[in-house]
Amino acid sequence: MKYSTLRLISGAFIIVGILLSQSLLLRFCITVFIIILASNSGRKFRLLPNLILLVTISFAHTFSPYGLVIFSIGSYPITLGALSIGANKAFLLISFIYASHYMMSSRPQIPGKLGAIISLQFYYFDRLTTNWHQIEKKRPLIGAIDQLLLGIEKDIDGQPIKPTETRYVVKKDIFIHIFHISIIILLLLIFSDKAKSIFPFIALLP
Amino acid sequence: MKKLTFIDIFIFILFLTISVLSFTLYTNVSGKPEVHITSGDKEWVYDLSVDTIASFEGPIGNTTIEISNNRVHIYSSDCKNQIGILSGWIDKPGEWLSCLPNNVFILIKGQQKIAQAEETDDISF
Amino acid sequence: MTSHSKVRIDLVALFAACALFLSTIEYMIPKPVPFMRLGLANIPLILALGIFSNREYFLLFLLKVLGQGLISGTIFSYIILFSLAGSLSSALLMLMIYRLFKDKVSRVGISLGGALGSTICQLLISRIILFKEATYVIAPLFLFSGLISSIILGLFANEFIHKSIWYARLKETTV
Repeated sequence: MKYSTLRLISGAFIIVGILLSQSLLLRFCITVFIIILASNSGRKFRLLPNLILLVTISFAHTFSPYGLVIFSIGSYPITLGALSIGANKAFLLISFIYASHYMMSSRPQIPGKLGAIISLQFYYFDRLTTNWHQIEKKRPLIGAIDQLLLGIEKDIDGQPIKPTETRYVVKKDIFIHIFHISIIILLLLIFSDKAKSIFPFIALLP
Repeated sequence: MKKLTFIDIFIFILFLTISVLSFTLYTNVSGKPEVHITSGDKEWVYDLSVDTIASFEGPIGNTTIEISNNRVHIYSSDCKNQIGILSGWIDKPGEWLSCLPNNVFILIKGQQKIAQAEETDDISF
Repeated sequence: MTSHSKVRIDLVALFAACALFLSTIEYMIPKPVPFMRLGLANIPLILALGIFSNREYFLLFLLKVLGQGLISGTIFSYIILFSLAGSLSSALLMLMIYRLFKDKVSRVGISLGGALGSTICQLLISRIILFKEATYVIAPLFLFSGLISSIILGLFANEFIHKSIWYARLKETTV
């Protein structure tokens, strides 16, 4: 088995893990873990853009108040429930972006035509999420989008994207990836309803 | 290509007509408001003027609604995105709430007018 | 001109990536009312007309639906069927309108037609399996929000086609 294929499989497990997670704290833990994995495979992590993303999405959701009022700006209530729904979405998004990088970092070749398109799709998606802040700064909008798209296209321009990791899997790799997946499973188990009934203190967490 | 064409306008008018028609379908509903809840094949009805808390089971879990002060809202729901809760309170006939993942639909209906409409139907046919 | 038997893999992938990206943006925007949708992910589908062959267009549509399901977390639930049916009728209708009228229709008309198709299809499904009679109450809001958002998307697509250098280059290599 090729190394990139192993990456792809474990990445798929991790994405399923993200989709299964529900509580805010669990989402947060998984996000942190995935960011660590992605930075290990070469994706730069900068705190500020992610923090801005988290804060803006959270506050955007306070339009419909829900839950405990933490504080009010004038007569506009900032509620805990609405914030946490927004934060939940933001974590899902951030973890998804980094997970797709983790999965695609060694350019896996998924078999078949559809597989090739999907793997390229995630590659471009990864590029879009790394470069999209260019759009925000520049005006006019369409010119900025143009630049972004032209920039991404220039990278490939006719030649197929070569796998960066062409070596085959050794025993150590398998252990490492099983370790990655089992941490996700462990996190899911800790926050599951069963665990709550065995260790009641978990239920007290948000 | 930049300018709008005749066909653009035609599709727009078609769309607008359908939207407006759909709007007139239900705005003539008024009268003593009742809260209708549908989940799957079952339907429940509550009086909007009586304060209640009621829970309904759907495919995902429970959706609880609260009626108080002639208004109704989704109090809690076991769904992921909580859109129904975020919709807040509704109080007028024709307004509705829903929890799509849990397949629960809440609608305020006006009782009298609907009965009247049925009567006129009976007469005219 | 658009009857390539070979699928241009990287072009479809790029459009699909844009659709996935726009789906994430749409997901981040809070929606106070259920069913309200902007349909941002439809922009690549609207722009793909005139560049893609039918096969490529269908592939893009498939990837768009999968991406949306993945982002919104509905991929493993029955809601994906709801959105799949809506997207399918929208994509088919947009393709039909374009093939039928070519330059006699702008992207606004295409976008409106697609939104109308998807909304009516979803309302019908809702009428049959989801909310039964209650559907007529959600219809007006559903239709009006689709009307407004699709006009905005169509205007944007018109503007983009008019101004974008990237798109103009794409068009040259296709024709």
